Amino acid sequence: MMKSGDHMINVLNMSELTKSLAEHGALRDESGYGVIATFQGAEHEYHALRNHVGLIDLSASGLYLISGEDFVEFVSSLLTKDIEFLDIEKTVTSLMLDEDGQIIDMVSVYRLEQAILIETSAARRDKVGAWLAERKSDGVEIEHWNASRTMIGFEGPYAWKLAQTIVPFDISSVPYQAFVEIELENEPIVFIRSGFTGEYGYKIIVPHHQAMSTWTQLKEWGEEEGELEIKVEPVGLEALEIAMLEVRQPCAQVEGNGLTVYEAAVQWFVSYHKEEYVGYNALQQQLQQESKQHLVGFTAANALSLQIGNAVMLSSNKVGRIVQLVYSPTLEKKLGLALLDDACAVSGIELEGINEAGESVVLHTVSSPYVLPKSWSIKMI
Amino acid sequence: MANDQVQIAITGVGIICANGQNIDQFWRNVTAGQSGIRLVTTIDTAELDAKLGGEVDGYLPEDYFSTEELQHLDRAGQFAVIAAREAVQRAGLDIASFDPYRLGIVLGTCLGGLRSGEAFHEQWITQGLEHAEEHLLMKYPMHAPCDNIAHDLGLKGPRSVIANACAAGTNSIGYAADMIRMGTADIMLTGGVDPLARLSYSGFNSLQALSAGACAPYSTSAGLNLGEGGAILVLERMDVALQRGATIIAEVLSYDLSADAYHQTAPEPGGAGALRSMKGALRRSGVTVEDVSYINGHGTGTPANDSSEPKAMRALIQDQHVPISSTKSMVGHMLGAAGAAESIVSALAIQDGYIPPTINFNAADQKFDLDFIPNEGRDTDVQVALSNSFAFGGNNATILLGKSKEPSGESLSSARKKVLITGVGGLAGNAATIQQLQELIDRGESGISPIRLFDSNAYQLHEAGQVPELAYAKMINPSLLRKMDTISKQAVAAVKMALLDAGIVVNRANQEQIGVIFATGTGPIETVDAFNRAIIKDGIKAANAKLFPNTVTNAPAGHIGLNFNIKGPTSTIAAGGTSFINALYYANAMIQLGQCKTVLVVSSDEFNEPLLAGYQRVSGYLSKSVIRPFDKHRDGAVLGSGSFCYIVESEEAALERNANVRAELKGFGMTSDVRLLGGINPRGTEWADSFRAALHHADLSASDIDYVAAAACGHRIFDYAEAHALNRVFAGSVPVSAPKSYFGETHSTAGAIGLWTALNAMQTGRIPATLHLNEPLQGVDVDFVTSERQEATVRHAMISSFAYGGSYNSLIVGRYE
Repeated sequence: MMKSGDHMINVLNMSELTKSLAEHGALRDESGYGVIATFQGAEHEYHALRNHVGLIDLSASGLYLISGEDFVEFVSSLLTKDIEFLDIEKTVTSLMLDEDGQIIDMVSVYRLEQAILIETSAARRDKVGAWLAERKSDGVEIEHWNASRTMIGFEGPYAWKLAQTIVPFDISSVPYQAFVEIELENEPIVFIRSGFTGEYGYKIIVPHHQAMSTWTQLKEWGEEEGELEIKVEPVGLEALEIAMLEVRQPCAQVEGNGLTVYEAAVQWFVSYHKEEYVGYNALQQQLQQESKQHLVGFTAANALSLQIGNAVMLSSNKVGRIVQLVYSPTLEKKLGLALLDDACAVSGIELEGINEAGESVVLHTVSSPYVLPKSWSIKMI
Repeated sequence: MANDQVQIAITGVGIICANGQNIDQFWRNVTAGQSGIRLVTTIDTAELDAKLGGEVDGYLPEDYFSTEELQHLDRAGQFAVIAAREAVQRAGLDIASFDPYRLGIVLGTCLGGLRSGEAFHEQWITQGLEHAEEHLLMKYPMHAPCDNIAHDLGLKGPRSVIANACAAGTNSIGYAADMIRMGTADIMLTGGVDPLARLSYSGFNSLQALSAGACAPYSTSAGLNLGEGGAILVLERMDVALQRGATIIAEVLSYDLSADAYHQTAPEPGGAGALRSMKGALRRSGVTVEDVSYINGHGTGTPANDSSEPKAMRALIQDQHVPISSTKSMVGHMLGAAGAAESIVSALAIQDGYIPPTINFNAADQKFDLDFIPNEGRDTDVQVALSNSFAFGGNNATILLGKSKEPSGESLSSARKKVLITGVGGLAGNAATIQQLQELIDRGESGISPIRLFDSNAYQLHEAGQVPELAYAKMINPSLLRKMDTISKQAVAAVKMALLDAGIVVNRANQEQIGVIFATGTGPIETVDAFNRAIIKDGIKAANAKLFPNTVTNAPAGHIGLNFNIKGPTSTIAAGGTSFINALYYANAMIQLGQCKTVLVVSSDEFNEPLLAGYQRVSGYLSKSVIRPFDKHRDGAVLGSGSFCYIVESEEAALERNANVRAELKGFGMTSDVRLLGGINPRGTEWADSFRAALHHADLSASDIDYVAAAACGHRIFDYAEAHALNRVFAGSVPVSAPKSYFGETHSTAGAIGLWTALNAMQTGRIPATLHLNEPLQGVDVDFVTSERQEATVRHAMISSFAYGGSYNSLIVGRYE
């Protein structure tokens, strides 16, 4: 991770928005794309996400617009989710698998009237782009929207209030996993309701030249809510990842990192009546071979020395390993995911984590969500 | 002047509800903010937290009716007739001095005779079918209270029942006004009725929508109180009213309908659907929002309504100040009667210059900066009042009433647009598609099969027209499919086929311009049976919240909206066997009067064990073997199920998209008799008059008709009546076939099947055989097509339909030339 001014800023591929924001934050390399990891510190930003509104630069996420005569069939052939009944202005999250059933990425799929937009993670953007190009048939056209557009997200218990300043209709009429094409400052934009953290979440896709002014406009908004002065704070990937894990929102770099669909416990991204897509046969085989391990969440009160990759033990037997580990400010302890043997892959038991130095740390497996988002008890009016 | 601007006068109103058993009492209490909400006594609420409701209190049926009359009236029928008598009396209307065929009725209801149905169901389950009383079944249909009014007052004109749940009352007034503007009637009775019933009470309770205390719309909004009653208005064409010197209370300016296509029970949270119906009503009347002096809101008191409706109101009125009140705060939610009662309040507000309050209004809990007329009414000159009703299925209705203006002096124009059929999809009996249906009819093969859905050993009949199990998962979005029951699945499948046939793709550009009219004879019996059965066996708390949304008759219309994202005017007709042709008439009216350009007319009817059990208890209804329409040896009907969808478009819309036109709607004839609940006039007099009315409307003579698709179902009396009617009008000159011989009695959908045989005859020249018609009944001069099909050139065809209780809808279609 590097501060602006370092040579990294010249090496990484970045949008104009990220370049200008990088001056105030630390960068992370996501497979060649620069993403802001933190602005003022993960814990501060996390607090904004969970209590106010967090503003997120999503310009590194891949955006591919698929159109042409066979666009639905083509996209459908690459997704584990059935999109036959996906309505216009609705979005769904799906896995994209290779022929061996390995997760290429977890993508959001947006159904437009005559096209489908695919949103990838930053880290898998090029991989998905290459995959689309490889599988593409003559009846399909692919446009890389990142060349002309920037995506910005904002999440938090009061994000809907900020969203209301953008849309000309009542914000509550945009249901979860829906989007609309509207105008902002006379420019066509896509306004999306979908989030990562369990809080009210929105994304907007604007033309590049509008990105900085939109960012500034969003960042400067504020409102009094009783005693609370709602603020908008820029949020980096680190804080976002903590909040995502707290609600067990999968992330391609963790769940898609060599694990099978069943090990990663992301079957809910698969439509089981769907039979024709790349990876279907491999997935069927995975299902038949009894999966021996699953990801399970855990907390650890005293875990200063634990690291990703450390072994997890039960009565001196190794039963798994740690694959993700963050500090949850709400729980005030470490929160992680461990890949555990089936027998131990349940919530509510006590295990041991063994760090590099051979020291033992008590782990408690827990069921998700690990933190209840504040938004769940706040109703939009 | 366009007919949609023809002035409609409200000349009489009548009501019975929780805070008034006549208009004077009601208006006195409503203006004083006097509540009629009290402990409910007619339903056992012991197990529930919510025990309050707007029950009609201290009411003795004997004060209004003779013992003989009460045999044909259940609680809903009684309320309906009491309110109708008052409305006619207050209107000073001497019905006998008018041509009875020019007086009609459209009634809105959510439950109809359900209290009789609940009683029958309980007797059946607890004592056995043989101990369940037949007279309860006569009073059970949705259209029974409507028939009660028509019989009581002698109305022989068009008769229909609007059943889009809580929007039915408002919708029915609009539809009645349409009938006058279409020239079908001069005077219409309209409004709504609903009783408190165990189904609605336990159902709303299961959705946690009932308030434990008195409801507090637009402020505390902790839930609703159910109410009951009947509310009836007399509508007249202005020149008719003026000619007889009637007092004009107010005018019906316009109304509009819309669909949310959002959720089966919850309103669209931003109020977008509500806003569309309000804006549509303004657009149709040419009234601007600045002219609106008062809004009578839907205002149920549920959190969902009270957070979405005010948003729509604010979006409508912008920064204007318009007072708004909820009548439901005083009488509870009267379901299908609610909109009618609220239109009465709006009309009286216009007449008296006084707007009643929203009571139980707690300013501390108010979430919107709007004037809800808290707790005290006020004197205000009301020029235009807007009233909202929103229903399950996301069906919205808004009506605009105005102070009576100088008569425009112009009369009804007879100019008509051409309305065309441009697509069809359907399934019935053994046929899962139109192609299969055509092959079956062409081969002269029955679509009826041995009963496989349940063990029929306990019954006298073992065959029925049963729809094959379709691969619904391939046709319907799985997330919607799991919330649908049989009647809805079949309906959605038919719509899908029809849209494909017509080549219509629903998109954002057209979704608000496409209307849906759903018609049904049976309604969702399967779901109602399952829901009620649990309550009968395990008590009111056993009500299943998952089933409840599909117990409303318009649930399929809601599912159609959700499945295809159709948001245009949406209505539901449950008038028995005439429902489909009536729905087609309504679609025609919507297009003629400029409400929309494309309408899906959908009919769906079920077959299942409760239907067989019920019909078996009706003496002389079911056959013991086969259905033999018009045959000398006929011994009753066989039941069937089916669903159809027709796409109906204005000529302009059809030409614009280069549609394949199948036929033109030429004429409708709608009449009724006033004889007997559950029965019809065996002489067929009024039935024949419906044929004549259709011919007159189509500007054709009997000799122009080349084929009649009859409604005959093998019943001894019904077939006899129809044969006599055919004899009287056509005297043996027209081939007559009975399509029910293929699929059984499919109720509303039978009209749609009849229409399909007519379209096929026009296209192929093949007039279908009537299966099992070997010895036609004698003494009538009718050219029955027996078990041999006929070939002929068919330019015009007529489809006949009837409903028990004595209403007749006939349709004439012709080639589009």
